[in-house]
Amino acid sequence: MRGRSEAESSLSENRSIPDPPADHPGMGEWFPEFLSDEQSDSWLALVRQTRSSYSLGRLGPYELIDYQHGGQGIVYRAHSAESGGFVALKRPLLGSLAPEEVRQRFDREHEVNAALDHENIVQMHSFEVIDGHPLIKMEWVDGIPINQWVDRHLSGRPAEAVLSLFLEVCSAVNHAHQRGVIHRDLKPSNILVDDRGRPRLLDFGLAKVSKWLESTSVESLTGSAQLLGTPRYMAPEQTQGARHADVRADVYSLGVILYELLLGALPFPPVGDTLEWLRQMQEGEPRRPRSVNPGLDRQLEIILLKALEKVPERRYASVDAFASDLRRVRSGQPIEAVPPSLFYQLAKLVRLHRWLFALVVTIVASVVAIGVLLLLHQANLTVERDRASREAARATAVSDFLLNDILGQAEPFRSNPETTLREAVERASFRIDDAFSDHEVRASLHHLVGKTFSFLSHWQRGEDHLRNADRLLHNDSSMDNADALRNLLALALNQLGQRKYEDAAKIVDRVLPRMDDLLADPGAWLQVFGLQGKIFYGQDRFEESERALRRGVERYRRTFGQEPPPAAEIWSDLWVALQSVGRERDAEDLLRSVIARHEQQAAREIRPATLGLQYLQLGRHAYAHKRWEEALTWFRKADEVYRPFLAEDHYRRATVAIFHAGALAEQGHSHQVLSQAERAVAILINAYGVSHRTTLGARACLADIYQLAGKPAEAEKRFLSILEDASEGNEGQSRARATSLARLGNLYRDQGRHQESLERLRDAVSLYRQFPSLLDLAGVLGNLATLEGEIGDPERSFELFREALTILDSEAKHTRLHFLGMCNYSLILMREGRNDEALQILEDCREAVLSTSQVDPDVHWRLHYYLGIAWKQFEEWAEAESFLLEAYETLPKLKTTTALASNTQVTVIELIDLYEQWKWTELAEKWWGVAREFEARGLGQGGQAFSWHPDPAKDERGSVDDVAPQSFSKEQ
Amino acid sequence: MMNNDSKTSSTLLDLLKDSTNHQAWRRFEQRYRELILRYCSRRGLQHCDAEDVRQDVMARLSHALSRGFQYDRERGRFRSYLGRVVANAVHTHRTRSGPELESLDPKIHASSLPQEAAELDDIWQEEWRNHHVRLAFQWTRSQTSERDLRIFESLLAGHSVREVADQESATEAAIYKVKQRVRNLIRQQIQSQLRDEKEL
Repeated sequence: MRGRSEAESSLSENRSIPDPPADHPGMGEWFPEFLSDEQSDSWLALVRQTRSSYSLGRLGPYELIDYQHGGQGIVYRAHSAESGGFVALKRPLLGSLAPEEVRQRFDREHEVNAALDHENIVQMHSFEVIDGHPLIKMEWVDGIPINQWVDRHLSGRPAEAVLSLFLEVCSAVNHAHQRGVIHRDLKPSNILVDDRGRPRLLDFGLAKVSKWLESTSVESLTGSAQLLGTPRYMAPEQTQGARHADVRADVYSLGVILYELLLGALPFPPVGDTLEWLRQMQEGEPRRPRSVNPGLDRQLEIILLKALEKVPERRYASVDAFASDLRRVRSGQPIEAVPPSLFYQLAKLVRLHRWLFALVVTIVASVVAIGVLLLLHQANLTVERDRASREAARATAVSDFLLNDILGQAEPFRSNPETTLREAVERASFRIDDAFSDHEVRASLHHLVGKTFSFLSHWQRGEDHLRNADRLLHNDSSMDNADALRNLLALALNQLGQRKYEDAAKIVDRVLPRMDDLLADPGAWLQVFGLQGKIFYGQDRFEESERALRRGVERYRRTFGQEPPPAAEIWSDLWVALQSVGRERDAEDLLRSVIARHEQQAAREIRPATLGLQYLQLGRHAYAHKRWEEALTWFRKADEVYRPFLAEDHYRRATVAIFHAGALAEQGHSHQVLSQAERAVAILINAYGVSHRTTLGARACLADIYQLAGKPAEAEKRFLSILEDASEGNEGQSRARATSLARLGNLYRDQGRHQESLERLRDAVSLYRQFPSLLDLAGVLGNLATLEGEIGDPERSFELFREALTILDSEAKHTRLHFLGMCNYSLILMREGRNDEALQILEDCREAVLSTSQVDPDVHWRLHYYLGIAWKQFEEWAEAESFLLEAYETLPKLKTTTALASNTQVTVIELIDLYEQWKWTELAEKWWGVAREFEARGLGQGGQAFSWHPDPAKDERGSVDDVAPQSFSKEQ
Repeated sequence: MMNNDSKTSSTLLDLLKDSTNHQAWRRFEQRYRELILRYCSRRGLQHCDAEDVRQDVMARLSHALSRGFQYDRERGRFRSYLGRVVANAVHTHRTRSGPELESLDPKIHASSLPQEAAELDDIWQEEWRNHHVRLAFQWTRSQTSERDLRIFESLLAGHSVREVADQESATEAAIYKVKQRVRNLIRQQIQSQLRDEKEL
């Protein structure tokens, strides 16, 4: 496989000689000819020899030269001694059927086929049974499949030449249809083009026989034979097993073939998953031909799509009708096929791309529908009839433009609508000023296009259009004030996107005094507060941000008498603000309830961009709390929502992708996700730059993945480069610094670089102290405390532990982190001989664990193990024994083998030591036996023998040193 | 022909263990069919009998694999394993069919005389070698332009580089280059096939 792709790439890059590949050991042994020096021609002789030994053997009067293997049997090229020329012998797969029976059936079919006399149809001569083997003898055509022929001979696929060839095929198929013979298996390999450039059709009339053979229980050696031919050219009704596929099935197959000949691609490009591909062929829409080749004649596109209609009734009724339209294209006459009506296209569009449609409808609705409805309503009350009718005209113009220039291009036939949306908007935007003279229409369209560009992160393009709209709207005092305000809001958002906070704030200030004009549009009204919140946030003024957002929600309730809708962005903003001031629980509760409300909305009320973001935010929250499964679920949901309308390289999807990869890596799939993660980070760097908070978070995640993949050097390099790119001035960057410092601290500690680790962790702690989130601080404090306890200053260690535990007690009571903190603290206490305190903490911890329903086995083991050690210090042997045995019992539940090996080792050692001190020799002996058994089984990691180092001289505290305190899991 | 499937992937053997995985079996069959047929032909079997043997071999493999059989990779490569299975199948076929199947065609008769095991192995190995060269050459053809192919065919037909250069109005160096490129492609493809086979 590798060799193949290597060869292909070397060919596609240039036509030079591929480098001699690294030699496979088998080469020297078996193919020395190819390794001998360049001048020797022995390899040429070998190739020649394999070429000359062509005969596969004899069959009756035929010498079999070679063969091709197809779904329905084998076709031999045979030399006939009788005629002195070549014939083709097709050997159908028969299974257990008696050849004679098949022959009779074939003869009946053959009578019909004999009526086919067309220069493009290959004649079948006879059905013969030779030595008990059924064979269909036919004319040998020395040709190649029509698609390959076009590849080789019609460079650039000129439509004229392709059509001329294809019409010959149509003529042959039509000839057969007129005589009642339907092919039912038309595909390029059944249409060979001979050396005179003439297409020749094979296998006419065979489909029925083959079909019959298939249905007659053909048993092959491996079970029932599934004679799945390639379905790519088959009409949907055939792949679904329709019994009576008629001529329109051949029309469909010809449509696929013509598509391939003209475009060099299939209407349904194969996807990895065959079932999915089949489903697409049966339910999806073909790729629009002009999206494959924009230069294709529009009429040809219409013809192809008509031939490829799913429902036979919508296709050409005959091959002749199909061919006639193709001839009309050649002669420049109007064709008979008409493009599907706009309504039909829209219906398809809605069916296929619910999200895209929802998006565009949202835009349409915000620009046109609401305004029009309100105005018409007002018109009844006031005398502004003129204005109402002008508005209606504007609405019509805008909606026409939307439907024809944007929706019309956002093809129902495409599977990747996001790209189309961007392209479509791009193309449409150039037409605005030419197409419309009316100021209002132009303003509406500039607004719409500006918003769309901003949505797609083309900030500058967006700003240009929004400013155009702003100029137009303010130059005309008769304009609807609300429109002008909405445009300003869009412009402010655009400025935010460009991180121009001051400019954004100035724009919001222009809107504030006129907010009453927005009362008719609650969404826009609320957005003013959302913008305020965002601007504060962007300037790291989190408390002010939260206040502004809360004020917005509150005033919304008062003004409109209900909660802001769940799709309102203000919720996401509020979530971010709450997170930033350290109120994580409030934030999570808020977001969960908003998502629940959002999911219950009717489809057209759902805002995919917002819902996706909400999923992403909750996913990142779960991720930060190491709830990997949950995080994965949210990320998957986010991607499902984004996928239909955002390209894979969109920054939002890249953000989902990197954290998704991170969560998978945490679950042990780090190697599989590395390249995906690298790509996501590259996209984010491209979108945001190296120092944006999102990019930095993603880069840290990537570094984590490297560490999980067992590449600490790579991880270290990445953390260090984050430190280079992140300054301390900015909150987001400063967080990234803190994270990287903490991770580096852990990394160095694992590598035994204690002094460096200590420095990094100290720096991290002082940075984390500046952030409102205490939990993160507690994590790093715990790690630093543990390290200080081991190599630094014990007093300092206790101090840090106490601080960490105070935080954990209030912020994360009785979580894994909390328990581990307590255990580690007790261990350090014991090392300093402060056994009473240690025991007290462990007993408290145990009480809490007993009252908690789900406890991590690792916590469970550690707690009991430490308790055993602690009780040993007091020479309370029975107590110690019971805890150590409990710890031992827990071992099989531990997740990782690494932990299992070392934890087993230390537990058994403690038990042996316990019994030896207790002078209970038999039990000590027994546990020695257990130890030896483990050693014999090699229960160690990485193939290392599992060895025991009992040290009789070990003092009482010695065993405590044997176990490393559990690292506080990576802080956030 | 078979050139489009020279990518027997490392998991093919695993896929084959599922006897209902027709796709995997078809891939496997396409890869080895011709080798088995040609070997049988060398052993003097008529084509139809060779087809029987081939089916028999497939059935044996299917049976063995679905029972979780794994040939000993250390002891024999897949090549030898398959060779043994085919040789056994030919033997069984002869025994079962009885002597009347032995053709009266003197050429075939001669070649079907009892042969030493070592000699049989030589035949298998030679066919196996030819088979790889043939597959690799088929693939190479699909990767080579028409002109280059024409040049190579002329070389193959025994024309000298100089003659071909004159024929094509090209420099000798250009002809050498074509020759070398084809050689490297074949060599590369054989290596790839060998790697594939090692995975089996």
